[in-house]
Amino acid sequence: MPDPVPVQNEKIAWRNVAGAAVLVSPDESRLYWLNATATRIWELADGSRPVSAIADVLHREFDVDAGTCRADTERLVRAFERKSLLRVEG
Amino acid sequence: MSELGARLWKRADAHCIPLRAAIEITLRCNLRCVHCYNFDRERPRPPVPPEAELSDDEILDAIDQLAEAGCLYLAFTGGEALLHPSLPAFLERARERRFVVRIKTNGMLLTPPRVRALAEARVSAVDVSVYGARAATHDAVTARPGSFERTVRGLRHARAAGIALKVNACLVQENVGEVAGMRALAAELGAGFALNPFLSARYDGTRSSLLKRVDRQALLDLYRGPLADVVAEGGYVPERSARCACARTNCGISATGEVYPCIGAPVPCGNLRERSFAEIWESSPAMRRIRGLRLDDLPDCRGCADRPFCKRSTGTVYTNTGDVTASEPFFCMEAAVTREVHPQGAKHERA
Repeated sequence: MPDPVPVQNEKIAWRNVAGAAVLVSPDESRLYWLNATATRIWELADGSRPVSAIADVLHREFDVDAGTCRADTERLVRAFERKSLLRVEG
Repeated sequence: MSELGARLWKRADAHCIPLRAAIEITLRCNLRCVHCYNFDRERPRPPVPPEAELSDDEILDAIDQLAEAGCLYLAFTGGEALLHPSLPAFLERARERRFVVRIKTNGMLLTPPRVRALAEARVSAVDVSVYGARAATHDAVTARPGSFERTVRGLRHARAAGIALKVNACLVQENVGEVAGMRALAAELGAGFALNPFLSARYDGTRSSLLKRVDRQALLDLYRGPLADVVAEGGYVPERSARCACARTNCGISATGEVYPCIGAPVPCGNLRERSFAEIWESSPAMRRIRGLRLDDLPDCRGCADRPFCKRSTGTVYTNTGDVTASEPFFCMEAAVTREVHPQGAKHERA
């Protein structure tokens, strides 16, 4: 089963603003406001761990079953990728 | 501002996160603008010796500290920021720390190699100061013959490199008749445009910069004429509060390491050479006082019917009066003029 590694697009400026990640596109034309789960996935998508490891962290921190975490993580990573907020390696 | 943008600033304000910061990386400048707020550029020497300015390592550390504090929008300013030989290193650090970066400059040094470097460094935008639509006017304000030509050339180079631009104009007596021309120039260059009529006394205590402010009639003519659309769009906030972004979502760091509630508010709050940014931001009594200002703290403002039209800036009020709670006659005059010309003005009788 493929276990890709998401890597944030380094051209995206961002901050965790009181618990919510706020992402700014390179030309400042788009602002993205992430919910708590998406914020955690974004923070962990630093190229050092695969989707499965990110899902494991969510499973521990959010008290959600492992299967749901894995599915949600994959879905969000692909959504981020479609918006060029990150790339997926492997 | 988008709905998300408004939500972001509201959240930062609620949590007092310094989302926007400006670092004054040097006081050196290649112009001698008559209205400069740093210090009187006509004096033989600046009051701050160059060796007192923050070192490269101290500026890099300040960038790191701002990132840790939650700052997202970072501006490098001066003096003339492009004169600092280590600006590329600062931009590199800002990029690593994932800031949205702007540079505030007079544009004189925006040469093709430099704008290419700025574009490669992913500078989000460059704000360029322009003080007239004609060379004679601009050069009279900057006290440097040839500066207009170089600044406009710099703007064109930056535009060609695909850098987003904004023309920042200070309204002074010299250029009051050229506002439409400056707007046209900005439009021709594909740049945004902002005009600031609120001049500051200088941080060295001299006040001759204020002599350059325009009078009521000149402002009225502008607001009825070349700026009528700008006034109609943004001149009215029914529930305008007493506080501005100072010490809540804005902060500034001076060339000597002083942390200010805003780069336009030189209220001493602490120095990075003595305390961390976080410590100053969170616990400086001056920072906390400005952060907590309420309308009741401003005796001249609380009953004022012009308040929905007032653009009172704590920093400029402090610089011009020495008191963050005072009223400042130019702001009062500007608010009254705005009310007079604004479509909503007739609904608001003077108190």
